[in-house]
Amino acid sequence: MLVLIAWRNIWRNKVRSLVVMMSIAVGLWAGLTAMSFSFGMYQGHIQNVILYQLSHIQVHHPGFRSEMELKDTVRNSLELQTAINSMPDVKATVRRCISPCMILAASGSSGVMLVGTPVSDERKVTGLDSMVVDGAYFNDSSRKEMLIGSKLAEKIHAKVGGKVVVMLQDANNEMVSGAFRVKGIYKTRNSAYDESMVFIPLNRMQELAALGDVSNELAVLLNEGASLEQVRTQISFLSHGEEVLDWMGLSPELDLVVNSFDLYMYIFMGIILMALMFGIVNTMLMAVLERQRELGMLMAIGMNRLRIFAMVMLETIWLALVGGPLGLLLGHATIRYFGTHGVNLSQYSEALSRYGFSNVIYFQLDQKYYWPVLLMTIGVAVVSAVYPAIKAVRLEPTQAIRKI
Amino acid sequence: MAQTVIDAHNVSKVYNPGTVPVKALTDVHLHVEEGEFTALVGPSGSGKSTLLNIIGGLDKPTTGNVVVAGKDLASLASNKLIDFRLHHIGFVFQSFNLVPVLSAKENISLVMLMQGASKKERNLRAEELLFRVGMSDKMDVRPGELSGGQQQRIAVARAMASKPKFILADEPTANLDSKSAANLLDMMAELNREDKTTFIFSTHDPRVIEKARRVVTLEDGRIVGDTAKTPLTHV
Ligand SMILES: Nc1ncnc2c1ncn2[C@@H]1O[C@H](COP(=O)(O)OP(=O)(O)OP(=O)(O)O)[C@@H](O)[C@H]1O
Ligand SMILES: [Mg+2]
Repeated sequence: MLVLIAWRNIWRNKVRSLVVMMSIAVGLWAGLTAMSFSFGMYQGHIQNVILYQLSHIQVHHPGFRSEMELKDTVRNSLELQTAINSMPDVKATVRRCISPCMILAASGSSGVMLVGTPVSDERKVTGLDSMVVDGAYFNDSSRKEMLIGSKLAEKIHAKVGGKVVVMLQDANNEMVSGAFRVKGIYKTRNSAYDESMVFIPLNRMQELAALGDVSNELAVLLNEGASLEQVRTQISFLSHGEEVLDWMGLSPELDLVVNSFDLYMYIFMGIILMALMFGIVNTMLMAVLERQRELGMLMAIGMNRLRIFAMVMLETIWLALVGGPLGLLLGHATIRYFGTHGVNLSQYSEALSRYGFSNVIYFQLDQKYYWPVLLMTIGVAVVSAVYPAIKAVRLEPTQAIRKI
Repeated sequence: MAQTVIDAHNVSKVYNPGTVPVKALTDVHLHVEEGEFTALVGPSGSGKSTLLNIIGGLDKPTTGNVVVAGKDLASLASNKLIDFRLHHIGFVFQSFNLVPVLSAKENISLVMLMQGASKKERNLRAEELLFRVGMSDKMDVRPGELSGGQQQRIAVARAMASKPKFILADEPTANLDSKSAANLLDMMAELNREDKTTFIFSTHDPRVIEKARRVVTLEDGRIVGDTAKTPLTHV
């Protein structure tokens, strides 16, 4: 019956209760939506980085990533590539040679990474061809042609058809240089990447740097739904001591956000709920003060303090139990909608793209958060009810009844 | 011989003893037996409510002691006192007797629920009591939709629900028109006759006083008159 009284008490002041329930609902909705937006944004970012830059897994000579020397090559990379390509979860692979170099154009120079890559494999793995915004992608790997990023092109004033010279240390630690014609300019969503990566055909790189048919990097793109860890272990096994890293290992900072998202989520929701707490406390205080006579009467006829306390508690919990699920539902619907349709932020994309985020954000939030968020809401309701409930319990029946 | 339900000895009450002391009751002795139908009368401020509150365990006397149903109220800690009221004393106030969000029947059931009665028991007794106070047709109606007189009838039924030793009513008719007041008193008198339910009520209303079979008069916190129309209690 206390539960029933509490429930009916909510509706005594409909407007006031609805305001509280709505504020809980809107608070949760806003929290969930904001979190799903940022989570979706990071997930989108990670997908971009995987699909257009890193791939899922990369194989290197163990010292390569720190030293960046051409001589640190992946052992038997051709055989390894063939073996990896035959794995069912693997979509495509590419072998690359990579070296830091100096690039010089007519009126500018810059330090960049020179990547030698088989032109058709690169297309399959990163779709570099689709990112060419000026000029064209390689069509003949025998030519000394180069693709540069739009940001770099601006910086060193290079144009399609123009000539650039690269200088680097070859496999024998000799300085070598080579002249290339800019075949095309590409633009990814990450302008830092565009500024620092230049591509030439793999065989031209091997020739320039006096390398055989070797490579420093083997990038592996997986099919959707493939088990990253399983494939990584298999490749590790095949590659005899080479360094095999998945994208999280390659770029731990990408994973950091995802890994600490639980914490962000609860802190963020906690802050919102804290703000809501004041509204709940206020409402319940008003409710208690308004009903002093009734509460006094109940104590007079024998309702003990525990029951009075519980009644106020339950009423607050009811507010949370209506507002909370409503907020979750609204949040869920919003996330579902923008999870499939996405939000186009192209107006702001200049700033976003600098950090490698895409224009369209697909909201994303694990439903595992719903229960804890609801429990947190109820928890906050309980905490909010304590003070008003204590007020109610402290009433003296004679004093309370006297107030007419 | 009738059982003693209330025995108040030397009861005095001083409000605000620290600041502006108000002597609300002075040396009051009151003895009430089972089955009485007693009116507490006196001018405003004479201490009627104070005395009823003290007898009902809602307030503590400054000096003196009150024994209710064989129990010295001073010996009960506050939680025990609430429980004691639940089981032994019925209350009817001037107003705000009922929980507005509960129906008439639910209001009556609430007390029995707190006493731990089964659902069947509660329903049965609530319906019986509603019938006794002539409110059977208003069983599922909330107090807000009832007239003042009807609300007070429900309040009396509620007070009886716990099978208390006696029912204290502080100006139960103060908010009623004279016809409703008379009706309520007649109903209470009937319950008193039929069930030996002990009633002690305070009032200003001469027509209500008329219905009492014992009249205790207070003035300035002292009992100045105590007249009984025999028989005082039913045998
Ligand atoms: N809580 C209190 N604090 C201080 N003084 C009080 C308090 N309650 C009652 N009094 C005083 O005690 C005296 C008796 O009051 P009480 O309410 O018992 O009178 P009453 O006979 O019930 O009057 P009424 O007919 O107006 O209800 C009055 O002088 C009143 O002002
Ligand atoms: Mg009074």
